[in-house]
Order: sequence, then structure tokens, then C-alpha cells
Amino acid sequence: MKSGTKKFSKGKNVMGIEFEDIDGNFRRISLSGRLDIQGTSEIELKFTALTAAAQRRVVVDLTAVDFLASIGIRALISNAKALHQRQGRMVLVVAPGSSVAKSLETSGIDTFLGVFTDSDEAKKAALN
Amino acid sequence: VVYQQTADFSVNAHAAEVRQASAWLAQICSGWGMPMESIGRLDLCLNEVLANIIDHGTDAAAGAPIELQLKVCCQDDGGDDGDAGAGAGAVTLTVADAGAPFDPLTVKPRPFPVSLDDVKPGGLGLPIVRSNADTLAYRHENGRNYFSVGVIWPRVQ
Repeated sequence: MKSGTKKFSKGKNVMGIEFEDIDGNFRRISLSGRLDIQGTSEIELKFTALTAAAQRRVVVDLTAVDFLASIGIRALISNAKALHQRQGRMVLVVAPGSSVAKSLETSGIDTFLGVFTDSDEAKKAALN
Repeated sequence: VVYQQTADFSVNAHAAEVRQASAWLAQICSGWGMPMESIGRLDLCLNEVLANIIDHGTDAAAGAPIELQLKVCCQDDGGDDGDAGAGAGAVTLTVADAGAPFDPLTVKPRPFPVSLDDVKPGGLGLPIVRSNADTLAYRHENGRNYFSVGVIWPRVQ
């Protein structure tokens, strides 16, 4: 089978980014879609803007992200680092056994960035 | 019954074309009866290999299309629907670029970071490929790097 230059389309596939301020400096950011090169570039600026504040505690909910490439992990790491340097904290929520959880494990960042499958536990860790 | 087929595609070394490649891979592999989880693993490898070429490839890599080939080899499920059905199988993705010779298999795995301050951005692509692929192979031929990533799946009972 030769596919040549036929165009393949996966529909809209636009990354979603939403946030909710729960109290004080505590914010929940929910991402959805594909965190590949294109998806990461779609949300990167807004994601940085939403996490950039001194002492902010952030839970990033990745349960609706179905694809996490290294570029998406880089975006999470750089913003987590920036937050950490400003005495804030970022923790992540993932679907148990998902490919997203596996990508984070492969990167090794799950050992020092809190990665949870339960959003209440994630909240506790973020506020601790 | 052993079932074998190949499919070819090409993309330019531009970030904007990576999703085209992913969509092609998903369409071809699901047509071959590859389970979703296995398609996801191969798609992740495709994204990382293309990102490496786009980010680190030389002008020669950027100047020529990247050739992609998928090859399936699997047991037929006995149905007459033309797909591989629930048989065990393997799909190998080969990515060929015209950049300087570079064998990803010679890259030593980097040590795991121990703290958030210690973590360096980048360098995550190959570890992701290594952990998602079941087989890896590299050759340099006729001025091109051929990097092959294989994903195997068991027979569905």
C-alpha cells in the first residue's frame, strides 16, 4: 500500500486548558487533548501565565490528556521549576496506568514532582 | 496464516507536519488490527523520532522529506475481513532522514534527575522511545539514517 502525500486528518484535536481558583493561592489547571508538539505550543503561553505567581500551589489535572510527548513533559518541568523557585509548588494528577503516567515515569520526574491518581491526595500534597 | 503488508508516507522536517504523520500511522495501524494501546506506543515513538530530527537534524535533514514506512507482520485471525484481527503481530516503523549519520542506539541513557533543580530540559525523547519500543534498529545507507522502531502485541484470546 502506498499512501504518497495523501492528507490525513484527525479532526479538530485542539488542546483544552481550563483553570479554577479554589482558594487563596490554590489553582487547579485541567488540560485535555494531545500534548504533542502542536498541542504543547497551543497551550504553553497560557499555561505559563496561569502558573506564574509567587507561592502559588497548582494541581495540574492531566487525566483528560491522551498523549504526552517529551515536549509536553518539558513544558511541565520548566513551569514546575519556575514555580518552585518562587516558593510555589506544582503537582500532577494522571489516570492510573495511562500512557501519560508511563511517560512521566520514563522521564523520572515522578520521583520529585508529585504525581497522583487521586485528586484529593494531589490537593493535599500541593497545599502541604 | 501470516499476514504482511507495508505502507509508505513522507513528511517534511517541520513541526507542523508531525500530526499528519501521526494521523497516517493511526489510520494504517488500526486498519491492520493493531490494538489501540500498541498504536499509542508507536505514535509516541514516531513523535519523538521526528522531534529529534526537527530539533537536532542538520540542514540536510531539513532539506529533504523524511520517509516513513510501516511494516506489519502478524497472524491472521482467520476472518475474511482483510485485517489482522485478533492475531498476535508486530509493526515496525522505519524513519529515514537525510541528515548527518546519527545512531540513536549509541546514546547512553542519562542518569535520572534527583531533584527539580537538577532536572535539565530536553533529552527525554530517546528514553521515551526506548521504553515504548519492543525492538530498535539503526542503519546508515545511501546517505540516509534508517531508524526502526518495533512494537509487538500478543494474540487476543
